[in-house]
Amino acid sequence: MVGRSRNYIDKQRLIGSISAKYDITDFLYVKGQGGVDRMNMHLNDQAFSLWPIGVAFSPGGIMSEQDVSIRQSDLDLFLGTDNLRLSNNLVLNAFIGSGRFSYSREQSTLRGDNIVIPGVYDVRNTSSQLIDYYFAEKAINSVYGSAELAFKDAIFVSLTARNDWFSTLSLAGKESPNNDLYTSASVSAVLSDLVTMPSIINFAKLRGGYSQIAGGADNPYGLSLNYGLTGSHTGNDGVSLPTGQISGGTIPNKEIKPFQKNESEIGFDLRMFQSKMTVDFSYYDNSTIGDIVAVSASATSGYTSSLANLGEISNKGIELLIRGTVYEKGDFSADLTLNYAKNNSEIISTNDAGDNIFIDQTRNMAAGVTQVVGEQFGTIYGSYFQRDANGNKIYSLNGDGVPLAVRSTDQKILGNGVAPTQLGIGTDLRYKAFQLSVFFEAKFGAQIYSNTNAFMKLVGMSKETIPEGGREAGFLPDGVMDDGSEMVRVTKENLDVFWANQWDIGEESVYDADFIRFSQLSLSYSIPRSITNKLNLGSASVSVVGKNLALWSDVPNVDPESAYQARNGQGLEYAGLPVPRTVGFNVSLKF
Amino acid sequence: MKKILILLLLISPFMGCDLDKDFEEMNIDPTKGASLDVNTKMSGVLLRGAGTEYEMTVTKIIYFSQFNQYLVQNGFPQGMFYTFDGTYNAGIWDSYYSDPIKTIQDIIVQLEADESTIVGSEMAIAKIWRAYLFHEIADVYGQSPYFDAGKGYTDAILKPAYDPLEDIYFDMLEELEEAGAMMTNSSTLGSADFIYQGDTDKWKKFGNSMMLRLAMRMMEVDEVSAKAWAAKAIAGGTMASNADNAYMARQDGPQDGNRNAAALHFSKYPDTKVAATFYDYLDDNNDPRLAIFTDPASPARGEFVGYSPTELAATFDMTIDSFAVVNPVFDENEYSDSSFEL
Repeated sequence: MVGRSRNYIDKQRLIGSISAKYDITDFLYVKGQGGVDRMNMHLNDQAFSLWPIGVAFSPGGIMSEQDVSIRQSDLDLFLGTDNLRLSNNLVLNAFIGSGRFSYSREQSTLRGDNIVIPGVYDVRNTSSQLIDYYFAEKAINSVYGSAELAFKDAIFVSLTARNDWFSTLSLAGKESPNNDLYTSASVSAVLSDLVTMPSIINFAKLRGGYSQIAGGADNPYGLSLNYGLTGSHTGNDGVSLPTGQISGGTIPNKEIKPFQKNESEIGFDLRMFQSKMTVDFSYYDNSTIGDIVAVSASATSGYTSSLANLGEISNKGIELLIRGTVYEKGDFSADLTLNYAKNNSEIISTNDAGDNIFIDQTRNMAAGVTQVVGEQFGTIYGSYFQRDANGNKIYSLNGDGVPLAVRSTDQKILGNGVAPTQLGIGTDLRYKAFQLSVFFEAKFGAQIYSNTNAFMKLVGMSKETIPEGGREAGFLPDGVMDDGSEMVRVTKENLDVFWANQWDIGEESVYDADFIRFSQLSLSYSIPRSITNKLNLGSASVSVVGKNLALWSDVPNVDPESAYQARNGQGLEYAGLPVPRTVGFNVSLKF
Repeated sequence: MKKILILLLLISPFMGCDLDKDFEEMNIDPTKGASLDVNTKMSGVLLRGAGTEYEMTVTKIIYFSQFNQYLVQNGFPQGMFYTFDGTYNAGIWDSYYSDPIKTIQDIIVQLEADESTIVGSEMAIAKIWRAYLFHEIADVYGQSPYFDAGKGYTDAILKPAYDPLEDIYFDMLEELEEAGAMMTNSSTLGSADFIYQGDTDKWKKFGNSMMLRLAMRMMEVDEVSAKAWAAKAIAGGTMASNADNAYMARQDGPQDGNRNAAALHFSKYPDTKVAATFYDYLDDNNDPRLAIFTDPASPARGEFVGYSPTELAATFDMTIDSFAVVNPVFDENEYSDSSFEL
């Protein structure tokens, strides 16, 4: 039956770009450039099934045809000067320009349920049909300018300014701006060209700058409430009329304004021993103000979220990259790469009232990602075990005499979903035509709420639910009884009740998400020139590459990097697909 | 220099002036409306409030019908084993609050905004239907958001407070009384009222019957009020015959939303069987409805039996087809489903 399900995508994509430059004078040019990306897709889906239990969700079979057309274009026009020598030591590169980015997606779907004549793939060959149409478009218009001054080819000063207008933030009668002006200034100096350096340093550059970025809402139509039609229906009197509803589950916000991101950065780039060793370091301090977020709302409000410009988030940290040839002799060399990043985030403010803002929640509602003023970004917030003054879990007997952990009535911070520390270490070993590369990566300081593990414990599929000595023996929970009596044993018959009670206690399934991953190993061999020359090849190599080879982590059963959803729900996990270990064999030929 | 001037002239339309000229228009969804008339909203609210496949399947069939041992189902045995499932438990909650409740609140705000509709049959019908929706929520879940519910957009309430059941009940009763008082002889809803085609007399009876039912459910906790409300309901006039029943006519498509939600479940999941408890009860009492609720033809009458949850393990050795199924007449998607009847 699976073999009788078909779906295919016919995709046509056209990407084009054009650029023209005209020198008006010897120092001034005008340049126009445009890019178009147009994609048309035709999707065809047929799930055909056999009575009585076929494709379980639709025994009569379904088929659908969908046409999707996506259009994206960028148009820019600028006036500028390149390498304009203002004096002997001063060179200017500058331009002003304006541009427009636009995007649209149009989609029409024909769907039919209950196939009438088996084997005839035409949507009209179904007992009921449904049509659907979707359209969305957005654009950003920009005016910008940039000037870069180079002094003695060693000191560079760069200034930019840009104003963007966002269609997704525009609405008649709106009071807050739909555009923002943002600027940047940076200075860099190649010290090694300006002053005499110790002999081991062959290049040294210092840089520092401040930049702003503004952005609009990702999706159009989020500023006003819309009503849509869901189809039509015929009442008792035989009259068919359209049925309406409020569209979308996000509460619109008319006064959404652009978000801003400000960043200060200083850093240096140092190359030593004829560039055999390089050090790149930077320190940054940035803040995101008024990020445009769909804040979770209670389903009883009628909506699932509400669009808002959300407070301020600060991120400060360092990034360090060191590369060096640590050993070199004859045909053998060893390179080492190390990268390190440390980020401290803090929620400076949320909304006007300083409330906690729910970003996402797990399926069992035991924990969620929440922004809490004064805490890190991505706090895991949830219910926990009620404990006595000594930190022991408190248990209470249920009606059947089973000791059950007492769940907190409120929620608290259980961890942080975003790792503040990242580390990567790699090495390249070369011997004659062989090269061995190894790379490890690690993240520290984060926690994860694993809904997968919570579920496995609920249904008794987790190793953690097997007491020492096996299920038959039952076990004595580690804690105290609420009435001060002696701790009661959980018998084998009641293991399910015991674990079911803990299913929605958030703390039960929060784990430290620290991990070290053996992320890559490759061994390659370059075929000697003597052979490639005979075969008329430029070069040739063969290699074996293994990815995600090993993982050291305390999170049971799931990958500590699993995520519930890509955007803001970091730190929550449920039934994600594991990252597979892959081993591949590559042959590379260059002609 | 002349060239530069020409060039600046060329660029000038792009610079500075009206850079967002077309944006206000662009950001309006061409496939949706910024407003909608009360009738079109009301038809949608009535249709979906009368039941959709989602809450019918996950809560009313898999949960309630199995709790009561009317039905059993191998594929979804949660109710027959009395196991908790948050999603199934919340089916009516998720369905009602996310659509009919928020739209009925929106309709009431729209009617309130106009002097000519702030009082009248349309407002009365909206209030009766709102009471009906909350009546289901309150009876299934008890304490729940009522006064603030569905007002995420209209009043910017993101986290509605839960209201005591007592407050919900008394307010629903008062709303029904108010609705009865403002109902006139006719309504502009006409055919958009899929239930009564704008027959305000029948709506009045529906409102009073609901008032009576709510009063009856209060008997054990507040007999005095219950009696007073019951008397008020009866004095106002309740449903008198089957012609007064509130029911939604269904059709076989084109969308699942048009179909009878329970029938969709029975036709999609042929492993839904009549429970032994229910079957045996009807059989032992020679109840003639046995042949209506269960399939009278197949398997042959007299040989088939109801299905009991304890037989689940044994079904691997037995053929599930030997158990009674729901009468296929209920599989027909155009079969009307009732919201409120005598």
